[in-house]
Amino acid sequence: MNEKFAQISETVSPDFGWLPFMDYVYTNFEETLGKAFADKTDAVAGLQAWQDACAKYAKDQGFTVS
Amino acid sequence: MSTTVGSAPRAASDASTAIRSRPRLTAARRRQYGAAYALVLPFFVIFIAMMIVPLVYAGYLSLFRTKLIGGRSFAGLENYAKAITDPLFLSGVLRMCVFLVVQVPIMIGLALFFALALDSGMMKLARFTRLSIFVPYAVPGVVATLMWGYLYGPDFGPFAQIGTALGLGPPPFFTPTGMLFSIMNIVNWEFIGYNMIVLYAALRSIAPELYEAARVDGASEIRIAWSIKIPAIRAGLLLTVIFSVIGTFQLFTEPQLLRTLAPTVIGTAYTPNLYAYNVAFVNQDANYAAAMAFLLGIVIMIISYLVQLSAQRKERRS
Repeated sequence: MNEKFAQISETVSPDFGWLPFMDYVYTNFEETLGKAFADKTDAVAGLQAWQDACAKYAKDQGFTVS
Repeated sequence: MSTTVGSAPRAASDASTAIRSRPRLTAARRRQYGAAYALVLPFFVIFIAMMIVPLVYAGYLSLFRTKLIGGRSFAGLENYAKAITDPLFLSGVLRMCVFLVVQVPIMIGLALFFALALDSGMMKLARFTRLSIFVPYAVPGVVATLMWGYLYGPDFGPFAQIGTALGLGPPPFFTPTGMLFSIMNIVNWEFIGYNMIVLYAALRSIAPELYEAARVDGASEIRIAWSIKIPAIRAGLLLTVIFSVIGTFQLFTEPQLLRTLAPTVIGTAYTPNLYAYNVAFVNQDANYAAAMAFLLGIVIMIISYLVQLSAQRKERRS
């Protein structure tokens, strides 16, 4: 498993901007986009729900979301 | 050993002098009081440090709001207002109400049935049966959930394998509707034995003369169970019901562990306790979690009180 990760790490972009609350983002994935995948429903709507939840959390934390 | 024997009569005479001269304590009496307080002191130190202080601190935290940008500020009862309108929190409470209405009667009913069957004395291998029903309670909840999680598993569990071999597909243990019943089954398996022992102990304390009198009057065993045994253990039944109500609203271990197996079915807010945990440790919002924990405590107290009240009213009527 870790060997795979080591190979994949070559392809990861180091320019990706990480959020200061990735824990919430990953957990919320299961309830939005992950749920859409599991139930085979609309993945775009799931992605939208994921984005909305993350934006809402960020606003609650005092960030300005544009 | 000799000192205890020697001191017993002296203590008795001290007690009689203390009654005669109430306001003035003798030196020996005062020493006894001192010893009593010294003996309960460790309990109170731990009780205050581990119960009262954290409770007060949680109550204090629940009145604030912490943001990544802006830091901590006083929020008054805002967190409580947020919780009672939070659809996730309310859906968790509602789910536990469904759980309570379906699971608790099944569990108490089966526990009562087993307790009566064991108490009737008409059962072969009674001792073995009693032990084997009670053993699941001795299994830690985490281990029990892992075991059931394996049995339920749609990809690897034995039921899924049998179902697939017969061409029926895996049974719906982890579907959105099936999950609640799967958890109910685990909780039943764990706690029927415990409730059975409580009820069985209550049954053993009934005076056997009552049964003899009933038999002389020509009552059948079922009539004895219904008219003598069940009314006599009403206090024990009430106790098991209240424990079950409290246990239901505190449901956490089972959904938390099954979440790794079915993360899209059990959300972060499946039960109120699970939601408070996720809000505190994933969303990093300890203030809101503290407010929810307090609200949950109040809900549990109200429901336990209502159960007790209705039982008392029933007793007065009969």
